[in-house]
Formats: sequence, C-alpha cells, structure tokens
Amino acid sequence: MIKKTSILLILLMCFSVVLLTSSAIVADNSFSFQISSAWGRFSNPMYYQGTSSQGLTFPLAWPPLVWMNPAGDIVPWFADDYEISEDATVYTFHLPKNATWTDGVAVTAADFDFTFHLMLSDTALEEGAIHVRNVLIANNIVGFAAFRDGEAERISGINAIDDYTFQVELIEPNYGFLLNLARYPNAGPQPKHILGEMTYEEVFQSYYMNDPDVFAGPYKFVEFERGQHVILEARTDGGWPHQQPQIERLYGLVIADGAPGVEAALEREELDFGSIRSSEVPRMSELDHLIIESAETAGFSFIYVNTEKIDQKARQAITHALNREVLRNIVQGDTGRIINTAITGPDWAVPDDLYDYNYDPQKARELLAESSLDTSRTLEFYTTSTEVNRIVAQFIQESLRQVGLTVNINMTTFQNAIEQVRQGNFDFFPTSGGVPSLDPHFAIDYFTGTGNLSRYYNEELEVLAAQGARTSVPEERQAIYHEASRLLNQEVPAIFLYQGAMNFGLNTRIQGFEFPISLFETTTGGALNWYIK
Amino acid sequence: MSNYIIRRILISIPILFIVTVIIFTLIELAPGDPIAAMLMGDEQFQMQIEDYEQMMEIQRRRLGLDQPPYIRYFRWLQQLFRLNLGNSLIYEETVLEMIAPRILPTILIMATAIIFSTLIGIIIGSISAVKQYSILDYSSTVISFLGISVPNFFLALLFIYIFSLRMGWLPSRGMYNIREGITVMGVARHMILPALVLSWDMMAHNIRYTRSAMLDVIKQDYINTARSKGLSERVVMFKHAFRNAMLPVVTIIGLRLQMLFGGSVIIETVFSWPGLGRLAIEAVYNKDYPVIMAFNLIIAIIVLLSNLLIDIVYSFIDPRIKYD
Repeated sequence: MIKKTSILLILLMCFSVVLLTSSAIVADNSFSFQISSAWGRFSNPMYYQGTSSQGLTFPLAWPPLVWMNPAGDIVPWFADDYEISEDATVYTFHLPKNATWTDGVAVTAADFDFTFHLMLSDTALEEGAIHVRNVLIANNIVGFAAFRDGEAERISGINAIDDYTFQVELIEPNYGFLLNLARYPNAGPQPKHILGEMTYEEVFQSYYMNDPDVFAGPYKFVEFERGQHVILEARTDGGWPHQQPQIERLYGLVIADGAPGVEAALEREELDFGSIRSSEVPRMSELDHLIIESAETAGFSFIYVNTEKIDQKARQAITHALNREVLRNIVQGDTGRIINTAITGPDWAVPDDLYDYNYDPQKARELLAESSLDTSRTLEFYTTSTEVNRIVAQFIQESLRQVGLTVNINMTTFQNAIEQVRQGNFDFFPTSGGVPSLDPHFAIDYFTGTGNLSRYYNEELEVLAAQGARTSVPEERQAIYHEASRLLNQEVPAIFLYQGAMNFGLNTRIQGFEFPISLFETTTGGALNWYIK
Repeated sequence: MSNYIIRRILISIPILFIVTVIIFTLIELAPGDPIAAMLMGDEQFQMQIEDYEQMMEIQRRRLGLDQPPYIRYFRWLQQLFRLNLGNSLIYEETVLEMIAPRILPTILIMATAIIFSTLIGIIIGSISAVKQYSILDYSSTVISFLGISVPNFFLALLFIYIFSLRMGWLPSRGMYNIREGITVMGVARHMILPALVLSWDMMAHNIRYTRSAMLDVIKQDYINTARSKGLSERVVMFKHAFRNAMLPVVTIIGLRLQMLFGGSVIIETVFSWPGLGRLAIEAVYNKDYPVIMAFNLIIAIIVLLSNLLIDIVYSFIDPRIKYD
C-alpha cells in the first residue's frame, strides 16, 4: 500500500514538474519590449518624470504634435505637418480632420490649447506635474508671464486658430522648443470635452488624472502595474487618423538594463525586444529566433568634474591619464567612439579638428605639475552602486593612482550622490545616457544653465548656447556648434569617455522594426510599422 | 489563554510606537534629498537657478517636507490613528493603495517558502538523525551547509542562469506570463524559482536544528522505555521522539520568519516579483519615508504576531506549557 502510494506520489510530482516547466510561449499578435524603469506616477502624461516607461508609452495613447522616430528624427505624430515662421518664432501645427477620442468626440486644436494652458498653470506645478512647464520653455512663450502673474486668463501666444490649426508664438526663436516637444511626452492632448468645464484644481482632483479612460492615440492604455508592466491595446474604432497600428497589444516589461532577466526573457520568447549584455552576445547570436545587433546609441558616458576644485590643466591631465578605449571595451565591448567633447552628433555638428586626449600618463603628469590642483588631496568620487559604475570608479581610481592622484570612491544612493554634487562636495560624478548626439542643443545643456553639474561657467559657451537655440538655419547652427564643440574640447568641463553602445535582441517574428538610436527614448517611435511575420 | 493573548497584544502597542520612532529617526539621519532627485531631469532644461530653487521650494512645501522632522512624525502618527498610512512622496498615491496589491504576492511566496522549507527541512532532518552517519545524513549535512553559507542573491542568479537561461525550463521574472494573463499554473510556474531560493536558507537551518534536536531526544531514557514496552519504531519516533524534538525547531522557525521577510526584499528584486519587498527597496532608494514607515510597521507587526503564534503553538506541542 505504502509502495503504491509512493509510486503514485512520485508520478504526480513528475507530472507537475513537466506541466510547470513546460514552455509558456503564446504566438499572438502582440509585441513585448523592455523598459528599464518604473519611477514616477503613471496615470497621466501630466506627471511625466523622465522615465523610460512613461516616455515610451504615453505618446501612443496621448499623442503629442510631434515625436521622434527610432532614428531620432523629429516627425509629425498627431499633427499632419507643421510650419515654422521665417523669424522662427511662430510654430503652426496643422491637425488632421478625422481624429476622434476613443469615446467618439473629435480631437481638435481646442484640446491642445486647453492642454498647454493646463500644463503651464501654477496649479500643475502645485499638484505635482512638475516637469511640464520646463519642457515647453515657458518663459519664452508670448504672454506666459502675464498668465503666470495672474494678469491674464489666457496665454496670448498659445492659440487654436481654428479646429484644425494650433499655434504657439515664442518671444524669441528657440529651436529647443520643437526638440523638447518631440522628446518629452507631456504635451499629448487632454480631453477638453471631459475636463474643460472644471477649474484647474478640479482637473487635478478628477478621475481622469488617476484612472483615464479616453485616449486620442493609436493605442489605449489598458494597465500599468508598477515595477512589472505596461499594457497598451490598439484602437479599432478608426479614430486614429494616421497609419493604423498592426500589432494588437503592446507589452512594456520592466526589466532593469543589464540584468540577466532580459536574456532569459528573450530566450524564452517572453520578451520580443530588449538589450543584452555584451558578454552574452556570442551565445545569444546562435539562437535561431533572435536577431542580435550591436549599435552606437545617441547617449554618451562622461564624468562631471567639480570645476571649482579642479582646474582646466588638471582636467586635461586626468583625461590623458585614462585609457578610455580599455575602459570602453570592459564596459560595453568595442562599439562606441571615444569622445573628446560633448557635441558628438549629428555629423554636421562635429568639427574634425578637435584635440584628441589620447592615453599618455607622462603628459598627464606634466599637465598636473602645471595645474593648481593639490595632488596630496584625496579626490572624492561619488557614484551610485551599479556594476558599471563600480567598474568605472575602480578603473579611474587605479588610473589616477598611476599619475599620483588618490581617489576615494563613495558608492551611494542616487539621491545622496546628487545632494553631494549640488552642494559641491564632490570631485567626480559619472553619468551616461540621454540623447545628446541627436542634436547639439541637448548636448550643450549639460554644461550651461542648471544642467551644469560640473559647476562650470563660461560666458562664451552661454552666448553660443543662446545663439544656437535662436536659429534654425543649418549653416548658422553648424558654425555656432562647431565653435562650442572646440571650446568644450579645450575646456574639458567633464571627463568625456565614449559614445554609448547597446546590444539588442529582437525576435525574428517581429517585422518592420527599426533598431532605435536610444533604447529608452525612441524605440516605440516606429510602433505603427511593426507587424508579426 | 485569551487573557494572555490580549495582554501580549497590549504590550505590543508601545513596542510598535518605539519601532516607528527609531525607523523615522534613521530615515531622517540617512543622507539624500528626494526633491533633488525628483527634479533631476529638470536640470537639463536650461532653467534659471532662481526658478529651479523656487520649484524645489514649491515641491518641498507641497509634500510637507518644509516642516521639522518631529512635526512630520506626529502628522504621520496622527494619520496612522485614522488608519491612513499617508501618501508616497514619489508616486503620490496613498501608501495603502500601493501596498494593498503587493501583500498577496508576498504572502504567496513567503507561505510557499515556509511550508516547503518546514516540510522538507523537518523530514530530511529527522531522517538524518535516525540514520546518523549514513550517506543520506552526510548528503543532507552538505546540502544544509551549502544553504546556510551561500547568500540567497547569489543562489537566485545561479538558479536563473541554470534553470531559466541555460535549460529554459522556468521563467526568470514576474509573477505570470503577461500574454497568458493570471492563471494558477502560470503563477505556480513563475513562483518555483523565487520560492525555492527563498526557502533554501530556512530549509538548511531546519535540517540542522531538527537533526540535532532529534539526536538529543532519541538518546533520552523515555525513548528507551518506549522501545522496551514493545512499541514499533515508527510509533517511538513519531509519537515520542518527534513531538518533543519539535519544540526548539518551532522556536527557530518563528525567529527565521522575520529573516525570511528580509530575504524576500532581495528575492523579489532579483525575480521582479511584485511584492512588498520590491516596493520597500524602491522606497529606500527614493527616501520615500511614508512607504518605508508602512513597510517597517508591517514587519514589526508580523514579528510580534509570529512570536505570539509561536508561544501559542508551544502549548499545543507541549501540554506542560500553560499561560493562564
């Protein structure tokens, strides 16, 4: 009896194991892609906080006027097209005539007019929609100051000319306005027919900010589970006026970048697209169902240096002391150019006469001797505790030891590191990512205004940044940014390392996919072209 | 018994109060500014420094962070009396809303780990003791030492590599396959690796403690007496030896419950399991004190309740123990 029971139990266990470990692949009309972060409130683009899970999905449900395609080019998204006036101060967006919200009501310029006013209201700021005002570079919009100060009910520079024409007028030209509009997904329309009768305070208290049910984009927001996934479902009501989505469901799975979970999920076909570690490329390349591609991204890696403590000669010396090629190979393989300035792209913006800070410890020692840096002082390196940051920190510590500098590594939380940086208690703070090589406007931001964590100030660079923002004439922009690039190359307000690189894995069942220049910013810009083989 | 339970619950209230004071103080002492981190992205927008400072002030005021710590603590306490755990600083949802959907996944994985580690640990430990110096005894000793000495995050990565990456048998992340939706089999499949890793350390301890407790007991005179009465070996072991050996083992299981909670923080992060532990890690990184406070309060309550539960279980295992 006992033997029989034991045999039955063993068989039952074997059956359970087979059942539980059986493959869970479901072939359907869906596409799953990796998103790396779940930070931020996720219920409405008003609460955009710069995270990839928000940036990759909001524009599919709340379509901004323009967006970035996978290559990083600005393209009309909700708008049919747009015009910029000759003096580059008036942006006119022409909207499609047959667009509707998912409840059947037409999407018009009035929705964008309402949304832009809502974004720029004080209420938005007070209710936690903290990034919206900056995205639109509000201070440069005609009539914003009067609106902010309570002297006007409307912003005179923001207008719905008619149902299908929306216009924004700037005080002075600023190319960054269009770039920001395309890059940051806050400015998708909010439904005026639902929220328009409410006060701004009531809008932020309304259900729509927490549990929205009406969308204007090609996809509907179905579900967000913090730290897990985002689910979007294609609209079938014909209300999206442009190319129709071909994939029924999009799944954004939150998996940290560089985690083994990405490779496992790609291998098991739970994930259709994601980044893989360079060490896994050879093995993953042998899998029949995956296409593996290594590509340079639009981001770069560099180390903010406290320029108040470390002078120009010392910064140049430190750059010469690092064998950046070796560091790049360790961190990301042999993909990604070594860079000597912040302006690394597009090609037209990069001058070919930049000084190359090649690995030269002897030169580094000579420059250090000429600098005002007290070499007996221990330099403080603040960074967050990730594997890559640890490698970079230790590499720099060892490299600088070779030229007589002592570095103390502080691995801490992001919040603490930022606090130390803002208070000026640091010497080095590494960072990476972003999309600086898409346009020099993005790159120059790192060393001007409040984006300048190096505590660097250069009057000439500030002027060039302002001039660059004021013009959209290609020849003028090229001349300005070449000059800025040379200045950054000489001044080295940061230790420039290398252009970012990423290895991507894509399931072969997905067609029409264009590999993105930035995994976390431009992947879904091509979503409407995707289909299943 | 009921008087004892009520007394213990009443004693728990001041303990919980002290715990909240300590946790709040530790959070305050920890470096980092949640507002600076929140506005990090905005630094790229070429803002005027004054605008940036003004924005920080507005956010600080809005979230009540402009108040001194003791006022914030008493506000938090005041809310707690109304069963309101406050709002998350980062996500701005109520903490209760954030925590509620996370409780079940954590309970699921922890309960599975406890049941698995207790059953397997006690069975293997008992057999080890009965068959002392056999191959099975040596094998279980090796397994349990491995379980005790290998950190669970390493074990997690190792299991992902072997069972998910190389063999492709089991999913490496999440609670269910998003394309399938939530199904019993799907959740069970996803739970195998995290539950196994979580239970490993506890199982190892259970094997060791059960083995040594059983070895102690089977050398006692009353076991010899039972044998000399002609009772079968099974009755001697299960009725006389095993029950007595369980007293120290139950104590250990109770004490390790809290450690299991700590372990789940790491395991949930590695396996992207949508439980409380993962939420707590995010909250610590973001210095999101209402969420950290709520998490620690839950742990403190569980610790106190589990200790109470152990005391109650004692009285069932050993009839000599009486509380009233």
